Order: sequence, then C-alpha cells, then structure tokens
Amino acid sequence: MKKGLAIFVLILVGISVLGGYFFPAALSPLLNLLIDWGILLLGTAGLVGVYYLIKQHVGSIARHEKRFILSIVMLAAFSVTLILGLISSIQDPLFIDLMINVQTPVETSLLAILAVVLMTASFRLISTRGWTPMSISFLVSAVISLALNIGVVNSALGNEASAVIHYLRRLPLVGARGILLGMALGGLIVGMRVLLTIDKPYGE
Amino acid sequence: MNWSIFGWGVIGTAAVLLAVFSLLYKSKKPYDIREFPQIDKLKASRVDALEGGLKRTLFLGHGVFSPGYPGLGLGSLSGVSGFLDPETLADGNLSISSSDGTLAVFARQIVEHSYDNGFTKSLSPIGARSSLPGPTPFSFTAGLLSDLSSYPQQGLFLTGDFGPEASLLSEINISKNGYVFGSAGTIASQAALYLHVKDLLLGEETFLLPGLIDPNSGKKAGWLTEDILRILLILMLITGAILKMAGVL
Repeated sequence: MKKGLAIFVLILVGISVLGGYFFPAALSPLLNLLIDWGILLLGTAGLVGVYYLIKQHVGSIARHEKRFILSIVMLAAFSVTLILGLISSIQDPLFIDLMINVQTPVETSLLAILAVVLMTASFRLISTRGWTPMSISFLVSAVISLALNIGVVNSALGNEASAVIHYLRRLPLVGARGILLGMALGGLIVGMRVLLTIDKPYGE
Repeated sequence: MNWSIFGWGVIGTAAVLLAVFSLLYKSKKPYDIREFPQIDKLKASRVDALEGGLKRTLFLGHGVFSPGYPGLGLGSLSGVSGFLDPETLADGNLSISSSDGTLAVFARQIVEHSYDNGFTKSLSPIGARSSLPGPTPFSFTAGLLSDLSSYPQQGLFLTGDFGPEASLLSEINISKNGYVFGSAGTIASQAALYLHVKDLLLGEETFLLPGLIDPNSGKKAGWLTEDILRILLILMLITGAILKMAGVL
C-alpha cells in the first residue's frame, strides 16, 4: 500500500512537471510549487550528504586510519568555513576573500595536475589502445584541432583556405551535437522507464 | 506543427513503444543487444576482487540532474543494483561514492533495500558503503584520490555525470595495477577517459550499462525503443538536410 502510494505520487509529479514544460501558462503555478518542494528535498538530501562526509572523517580519526591527519585538516577547514558562513554571510567580503584565496589556488593546482596527467596519457594512447582507426583518428583530430585553434595558421592564409579552416573548426561542433542528441534520447528513455515504473531504481 | 507538439509526439511514441516492448519481452525472446566485451571484463574484475578481498569503488557522478546531460545521474543510480550481488554485499568491500548528497542518499537506500532482499534485517548494511568524500567536484576528487592511494584497490567504476577530473582517479588506480571501468557520458569525460581507460562505454552507450549488468525485460525494451527513435531521428535529419539543400525548407 505504502509503495503503491509512492509510485502514484511519482507518476503524478513526473507527468505534471513534464506537462509544465509544454503548457507553461496553464501549469505554471503547480510547476513552481513542485519545483520548490523538489529544491527543498534536494537541499535536505545535501545536508544528509554532508553528515555522511563528517561521519566518514570522524570515523577515520577515531580508528586512526592511514592519513587520518588529512581528516583533521578537512574537519577543521569545514568548521571554519561553516562558522564564518553562519556568523557573517556568503556575500560578506571577508568570506568571499577567504574562499577565493583558498579554494581557487587549490582547484587551480588540481587542474594543473590534470593537464599533466592528460598530456602524458595522450602520449600513451597508442600503447593503451593500439593502432586502431579510432585511436589514430582521435590523435590526428586532436592535433589538427590544436593547430587550428592557435590562430597562426588562419592569419597566414588567403580567403579560400580560411573558409576551409572555418569549416574544419566547426566539425567538432557537429560531432558534439550528434553526441548530445544521443544523450538526450538516452535521458528520455531512462526518464520514461522510471515514469512508467518499468524501472524501479528505488527497489523492486 | 510547432515544436511543442513534436516534443509530445516523441515522448508519446517513446512511452507507447516502451510499454508495448516491455509486455512483449516478458514472454518472448529478448532483444539481442550489440556485443560489449568491456562488460565481460567488468564482470571478471568483480570475481578477481572478491577472490582477492580487495576494495572496489563505484563512482556515481557529481549530480542527479544536470541541464546539459539530463538522465545521466538517474542512469547511474539505475545501475547501482547491478553491482549489488549477494557476494558483494557479504564481502563488504564496495564503496559507492558521489560528490552529491542526493546521489549518496539514494545510493544508500538502494543498498539497504538490496541488503534486506538477501539477508536478515537484524544485520546492518555494511556490505556496501555510501560515501561522500567531498561536496564539490574538485573536493570530491581530492578526497577520493587520498582514499584510492591509501589502500590496495582493485576496481574503480566510473558512471554518471562527471568531467575530465575523473581521469585523475582512473590514473591513480591504473598506476596501482587496479582495474578501471568507465562509462563516460559527458563530452569532456569521453575525451579524457578515452586516452587511458581501456574498458569504456562512450556517449549514449552509458545508458545501456544498467541493462548490461542487470538485464530485465524493461531495460531491454528501453534499448529497442532507443534504437528505433535513433533511426527515426537520423532519417528525419537526413530528410531535413536534403530538403534544405533543395531549397524546400
């Protein structure tokens, strides 16, 4: 009975939200209400996620696991950010300064590591995947794309060659559109499977 | 005809086809999908990990919904039950990670439900842990990198909505002779993981994963419906391009 009610609510909400996109004028008030409820639920789930995060690190410290010092640093940083955020506000200049001066360098350093990892991985592409048409095409198109986006080639050529280069630059967009169309179809089917209760990720 | 009616047409067609094929596949021979040798390796890695008593990490992505790639988060959740066979739940070495609280909560619910299916309720669901190493994509990556480098790790399964930062995770697992399986939906993650992850599902193939590891009639009906819609879309695009070239459109 309880599960039946949950499925009924799921279908009702899903169809209402879906209908809201096609008939915004008629269903706008209902859509806004449902989206507000959804955001509230997502926010609550986010808090539960933060609880998992804290629990995991407190457990790590209690068990003296490897690198538990990192958990202490994480919890200290989290507490400072939380307290500052509660005392002032997220628009406070001091808070923003702290975020920018700590978070941005950390994220930038991770991006730098990522760039190095991707570069070394691209050197190893052939040893990983062998000389296949796909791997060769991938490498060739990556090199051509990099060369074309430097901008030097374009200025050194005449009008007709520039048109060809302009065409080549648009090719990745065509591929990306194809991928996005496929993804949209996949997303549609996953959503429909849940809406029609054919697929029950929450349990049979 | 406006685009709203066209949209309803596509959704309606998908719904009808899904319902019809689901009913058909309950009694008849299922739809034969394309071969994916990566899935056989994924299944073999599970056996290796169980025999070796090694850790596995299932990554569900950074969000249950993203405007650019709707369905990826839900798709990753849909595949969780396929990883939760009784041996894995008894073994206790699977960790389900995400940087999104919602995904972590949903994953935990799925784990608890699977645990109840095979075991007495007096046992706690220690079989697979749901964790959140960091609440943002980068803090998550830093947190999970630390976890992955601390323990002997056999398997890392990347699914859902994530970007190129996942290649840091896969790289560290590969450097420790671990197994990495990727299901890359976003364009950036496809390009990044293609470089060094051998067993990889790309683009729309990611939506096949739940059915490939845990097949049932509904998921197979979804495959066939998707294939039919894809063919229709290709035909419409080609027709549109021809009409445009002919000056009709």
